[in-house]
Amino acid sequence: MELLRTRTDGCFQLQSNFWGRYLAPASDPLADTVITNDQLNGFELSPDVAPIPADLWSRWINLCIEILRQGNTDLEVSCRLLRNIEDPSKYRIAVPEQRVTSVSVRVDSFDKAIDIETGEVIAQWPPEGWRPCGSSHSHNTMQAFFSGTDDQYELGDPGLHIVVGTIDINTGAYTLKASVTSNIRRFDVAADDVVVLRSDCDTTYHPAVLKVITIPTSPSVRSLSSTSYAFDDLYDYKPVITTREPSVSTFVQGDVDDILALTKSLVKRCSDLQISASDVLHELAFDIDDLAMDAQPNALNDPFYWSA
Amino acid sequence: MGLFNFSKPSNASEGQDVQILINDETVTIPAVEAVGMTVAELFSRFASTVCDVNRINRYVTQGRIVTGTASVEAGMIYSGAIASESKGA
Repeated sequence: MELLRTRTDGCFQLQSNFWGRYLAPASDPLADTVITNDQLNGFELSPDVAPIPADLWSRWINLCIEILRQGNTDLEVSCRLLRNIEDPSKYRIAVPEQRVTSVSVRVDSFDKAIDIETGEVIAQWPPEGWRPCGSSHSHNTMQAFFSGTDDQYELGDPGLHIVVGTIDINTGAYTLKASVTSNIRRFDVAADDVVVLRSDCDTTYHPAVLKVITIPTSPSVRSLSSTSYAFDDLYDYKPVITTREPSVSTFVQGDVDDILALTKSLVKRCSDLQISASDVLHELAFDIDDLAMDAQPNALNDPFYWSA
Repeated sequence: MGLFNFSKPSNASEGQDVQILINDETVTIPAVEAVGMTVAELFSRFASTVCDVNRINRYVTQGRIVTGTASVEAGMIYSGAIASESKGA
């Protein structure tokens, strides 16, 4: 039976039965390679990759720390990595106009970005002579990891992506999680293979970058007492059980129900128009998140809420 | 009964390939497959395994910005720029 060998989809054979004919996958008699799962899922960093220099990286880390200091709550912040087209060992870090919260960063356009070293305004993305090559963002005092939102936006944005986490503003200590995304997949890489990590750099960010970072305006109160974990002894601990007030939403349940009904009708409307309800709801969630951050600090006083 | 009439894949014509770039990723497409498409169609068809083509908002060729509706020309290199993002924790 004739073997049909496609360019990218493998080999097939035309098969038939009483009812008709169909294509079925077939093995390739000319196959010449065995690929293991480790090989299929692995990644080998090119020895030609120049790591991001310490003096540039230090500017970014100092910005992450400064945003933590400025916020009334622990805040994230994001930057874009650029590589010089003529000399790939040269990097730039650009901080785009962004709105940040304790758990998110939103950048509507990279067209207004500031060079972290020089303060130069980048009005058109990407700047001439430079190629976008990834991003980094801070998880403030939280662990460094790639969240679902990070996957959603980074898997389709090929390049080097690094999360900065567990930042200690007093000591300047932090942890990194680094990866390369390609082929809509993420490959973990060692952070010190892609960044020169030194603690003796005294370079810092250009002050102009602060102008493009919008932080929540209302004071938010982190109620440390409400996260109250008490150590009974050296080896055992348990959370203090706090009597929880009735949920505030109980008093506005009718309004909440109305909004949920509207949201369901929005999902149906998106379906009718064949647009992504997920995308629309994601945008809406950001707007709600912003409103929550601007609302009364009571919003964060739930005894079962903690920012870490 | 014309469902299973197969055609041969087109062969690349040397020197006339079209290249598309997204960040550091490059995809080479035989001109015969690319010509006749718009730039947006080219990315949608050939770059979807490399990047989120729905987030490309700018196309550049030879240092000039071109619209997604521009016709693809043989031998050209087109780069697409992703220009928005969200991050979360």
